Amino acid sequence: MSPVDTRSLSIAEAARLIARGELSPIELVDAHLERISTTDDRLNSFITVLEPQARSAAEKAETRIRSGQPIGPLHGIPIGLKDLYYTKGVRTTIGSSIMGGFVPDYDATVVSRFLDAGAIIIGKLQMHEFASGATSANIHHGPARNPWDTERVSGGSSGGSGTGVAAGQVMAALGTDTGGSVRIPAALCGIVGLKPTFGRISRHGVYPLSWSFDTVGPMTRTVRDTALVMNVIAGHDPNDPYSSRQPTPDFTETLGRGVDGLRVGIPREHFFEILDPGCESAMREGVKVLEGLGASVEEVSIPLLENILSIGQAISGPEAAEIHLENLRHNVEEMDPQVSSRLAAGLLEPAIYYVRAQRARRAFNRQVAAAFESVDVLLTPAAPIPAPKIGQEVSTVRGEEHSTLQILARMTRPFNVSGSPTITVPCGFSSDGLPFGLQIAGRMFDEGTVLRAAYAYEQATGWHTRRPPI
Amino acid sequence: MNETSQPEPMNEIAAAAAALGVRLPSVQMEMLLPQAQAAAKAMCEVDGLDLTEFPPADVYLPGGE
Repeated sequence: MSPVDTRSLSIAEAARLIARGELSPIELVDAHLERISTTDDRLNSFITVLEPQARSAAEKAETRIRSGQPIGPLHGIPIGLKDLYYTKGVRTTIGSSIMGGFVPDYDATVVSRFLDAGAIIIGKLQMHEFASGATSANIHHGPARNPWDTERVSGGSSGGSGTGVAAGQVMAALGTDTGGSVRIPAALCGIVGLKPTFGRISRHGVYPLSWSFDTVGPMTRTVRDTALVMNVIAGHDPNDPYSSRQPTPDFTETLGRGVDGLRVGIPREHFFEILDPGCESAMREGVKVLEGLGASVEEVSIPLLENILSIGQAISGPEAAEIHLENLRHNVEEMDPQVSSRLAAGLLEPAIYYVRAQRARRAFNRQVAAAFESVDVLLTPAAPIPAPKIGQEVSTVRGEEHSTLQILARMTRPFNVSGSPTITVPCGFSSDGLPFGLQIAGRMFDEGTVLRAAYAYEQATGWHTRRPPI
Repeated sequence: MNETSQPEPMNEIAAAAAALGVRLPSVQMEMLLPQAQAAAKAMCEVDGLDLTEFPPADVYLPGGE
């Protein structure tokens, strides 16, 4: 086989080649380690590169193939983990200096599932400190940089995951999504990011930010690869009290069924109020593509979307503050002041507002469920702006100035409140070459339809085949 | 931190945080003020929601959907 192009080889293709003996796991891992060594000084995707461990795992994977032993669906596939997944014997920083010496003595459930499937963990990825922020501008480890323009953020909080996948340093990465932290970096880096239904994937061994929002999510370069990763990591885990017992389907099974007859809803409220014209244009074009493939499109109303950011903040603020109360009491001077002040704001909320917001959340979820009686998926932009510059605190949208951090999660947060499965796929580029993302949300536990719509769109457009210049 | 030198809202915020054992350095207090104002705006908005058609005990629980 010709030298591996780590930027374009899909997991589906690599797994097929490995199973046939036409691609060696050693060759594949070496190619990715080489890619990391030649690019990460400019991208800063990694907090820890596990080079010796990855090479050793690749040799074992190679031996297993040569000896004719059965192999898993991700055998020899190099992956990365946001640095808040517990990895036995490997430093796990949560993006903070406070946790710098923390070495878990067990693997997160999803890490065990990856290893059981034959995947090779190549490193731990950059993130916003404690996952509390949407840019991954990390004062302790430096910012994760966007491979489409290294002067810009990759989004967050799973920024290293977005950069690493887009730049071909890893074939897949895991992020976590509390307010959009899988989908924002996926959109800003031009890759696929899925926030599955709340409860679909175990959070055991995943450092929390907000117990009722946190969701594990895969990030890949294609929709099929996301489905393949979902097949490995989804499913009930008794170690996570909020892990669902819903049956786990084969997520690749329905990918190719097309969208003829699919009912697509465009929410009337919220999503188009603060939106870069380029992002809106790309999203509207995406709607036309799905219409052209046979989907029907209608406007839907979800009135509580008008209040959804406040509902979300009133819930996530106290949840995050409670998790970090001891850090705020004893380690606050070691934290990024932006992060500590954001967390501390949650201390100030009286309990009555938290409970009231959780009531409002139930009301919102009923409205979302009612919308899904008339449509199969909801379509929105994935981010209101393309990737901002590193350190850019204010973003101007249609002549009005907004806090960059506050608006980045505008499009994604509503589906953390509802818990709905939601994906972003690349849907175009700005005039200066920055990616846009199309967001598709579905009914609870209906990742199959979300993936099917995303796959149909991806195959019809080909945006996912563009590669960053680095 | 010298609380008496802070503007009134800062004093209130500092006192609320201190009640939970959290004492922020002055630079973090300055950053906390806009965050606290955003949180207060969210609380005010949530307070104003009309939830009368939803039973008072109908509170969201993860996994209950």
